[in-house]
Amino acid sequence: MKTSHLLSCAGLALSCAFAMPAAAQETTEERPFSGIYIGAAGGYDVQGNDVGSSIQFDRNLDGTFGDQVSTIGGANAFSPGFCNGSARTAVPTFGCRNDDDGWAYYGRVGMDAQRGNIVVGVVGEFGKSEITDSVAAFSSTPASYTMARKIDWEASVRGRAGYAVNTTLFYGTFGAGYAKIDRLFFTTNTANAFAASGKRQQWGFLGGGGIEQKLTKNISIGMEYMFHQYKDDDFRVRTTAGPAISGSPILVANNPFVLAPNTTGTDFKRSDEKFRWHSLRATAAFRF
Amino acid sequence: MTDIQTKLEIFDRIATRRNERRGFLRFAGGGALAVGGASLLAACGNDDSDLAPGPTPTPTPAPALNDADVLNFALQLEYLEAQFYAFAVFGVGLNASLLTGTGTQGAVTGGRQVPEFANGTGDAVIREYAREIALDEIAHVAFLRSALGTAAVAQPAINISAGTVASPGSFTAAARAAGLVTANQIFDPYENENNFLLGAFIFEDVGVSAYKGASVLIANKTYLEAAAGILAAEAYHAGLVRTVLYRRGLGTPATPTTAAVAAVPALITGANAISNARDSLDGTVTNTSTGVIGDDDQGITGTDANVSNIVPTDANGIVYSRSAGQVLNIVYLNGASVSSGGFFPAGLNGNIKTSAANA
Repeated sequence: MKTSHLLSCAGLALSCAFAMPAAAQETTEERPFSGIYIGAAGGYDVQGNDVGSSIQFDRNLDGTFGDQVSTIGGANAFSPGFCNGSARTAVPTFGCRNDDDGWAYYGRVGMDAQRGNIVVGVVGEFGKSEITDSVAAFSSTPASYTMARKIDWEASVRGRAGYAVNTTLFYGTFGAGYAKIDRLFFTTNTANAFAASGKRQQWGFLGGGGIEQKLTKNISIGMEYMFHQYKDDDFRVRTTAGPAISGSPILVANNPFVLAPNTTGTDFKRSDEKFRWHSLRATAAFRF
Repeated sequence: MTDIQTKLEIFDRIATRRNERRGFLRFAGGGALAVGGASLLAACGNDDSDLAPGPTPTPTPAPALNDADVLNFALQLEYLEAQFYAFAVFGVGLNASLLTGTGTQGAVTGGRQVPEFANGTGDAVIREYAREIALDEIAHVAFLRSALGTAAVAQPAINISAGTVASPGSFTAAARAAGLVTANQIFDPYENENNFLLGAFIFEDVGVSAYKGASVLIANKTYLEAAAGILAAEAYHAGLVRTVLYRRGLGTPATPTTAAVAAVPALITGANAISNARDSLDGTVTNTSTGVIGDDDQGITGTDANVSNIVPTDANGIVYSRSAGQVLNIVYLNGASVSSGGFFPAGLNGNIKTSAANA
């Protein structure tokens, strides 16, 4: 019977593991990628360049972004421009810091089934990445305003399909992700008050592929590329007259963010509504 | 909930992350593999390019003066005028509640009630004019403070004293510069009505030209309109003072029921001398070779002492302006670029505090 055959095989393999080289042992296994496994993945995550990204404004708080924030004289208050990184100072002269790439580390659990050379399975993963994606605006004040996003944690469930050649598996993977995104906002503007809001848990997807090599019956290592994309369009920063100016009618009457007719404030949002990054990671798994 | 963090906190977090990364690297067995792969991906990312903002970066601009800066400058001129008139007319300075604000608060040196205003023996017209002007100037202080709110600056130290021969006050210094008194005399604007008029004359034309000059700096039309209203009030005041000085300089004509009042020509020559001194301080000097009054700040008579020049206008009938720096030349009683002196011995509060370089 198949089950008893498997068990006897397993028993044989276990007893032989101490006596035989691992590679020689694995090449004899019939379906090396079937079964449940737990593992870890770690690597480095990098981001593409969000060229042209900026901060958009809703001056009249009607929910529609793209308004110009104007000075009392009618000039564009953000004439110094934007950059797709985090502002170093209050003026664009000194440029911006690159988006931060960073390490990523995940734990995973999965299950595969193998028939012939074909392997299909499902894997769940939980972990975090240290990347930061920023965009900055410069006002003529002069002041800078940086909106940034980071990954607090990321969970995903993906399908996996591959082609096994002996103990080597080439696979592709695709699935849904759910992440908690940290939002950061910092500015050199000391006159206004800023309040951030927005849903932090966001849905996304992941896709990629890799190669996995069994070293022993229970241990496999691999290397994997993954693309992550999350919709992140909820982050808002409401700019109002801060304590520094709210007690002064003249300062309030001249502040671009609270100019009449809408003296309540101005909303900020990022023009790039997707949080995307690439990761290349090493994997290791223990197969039961 | 979303994190709002200051830059310092961000930097702290970046440092923390860096340490975490290093710890992770030391721990992770597959570090070498990961680094190798990351180099490949970094090349794809092209993350270093195009970080400059859209428009060409320009050098760091000096923070522009805002409306609060301009109106705070005006407020401090109003402190000066209001204190002078309040002391001269009522014998007391402004209420302490009108003097607080940002910056360094200072005291008033000098100032007392003009005797004729106290005992009612003087010219009722001058007394009533002075009372009106005093109340207007105090109201200007209150209005500007209200409009500026928490941004209002405190009254800086003000000197409106005659002082002594050895230690002259600002009025004596101004009068000596104008040649009204010698170096061994003092000028006390509170001594009598005539001196009061000359003292008022020192300020009033400055106020008018200062508001006109500042108008181009006020961006908010609401406050520009208010400033225009103050300018108009100052112009009325200046016109009154100039008219009375001229009238007294010519002498009051006799009527069937009154005796003629003796003329005081020194009031006309004195006012004209003050005007020339202001020109000298702010860099616009009379052309002495042609005898033509080419200066902006004009006395109260034309080329002939009997020809009035109540309204100091140019060929188009337009009154002149002074820049903030020129105004400060006069109130600091210094033609050079300085930040204190004269009527403001400790300088001004706020962001407009340096006089123009004319000397």
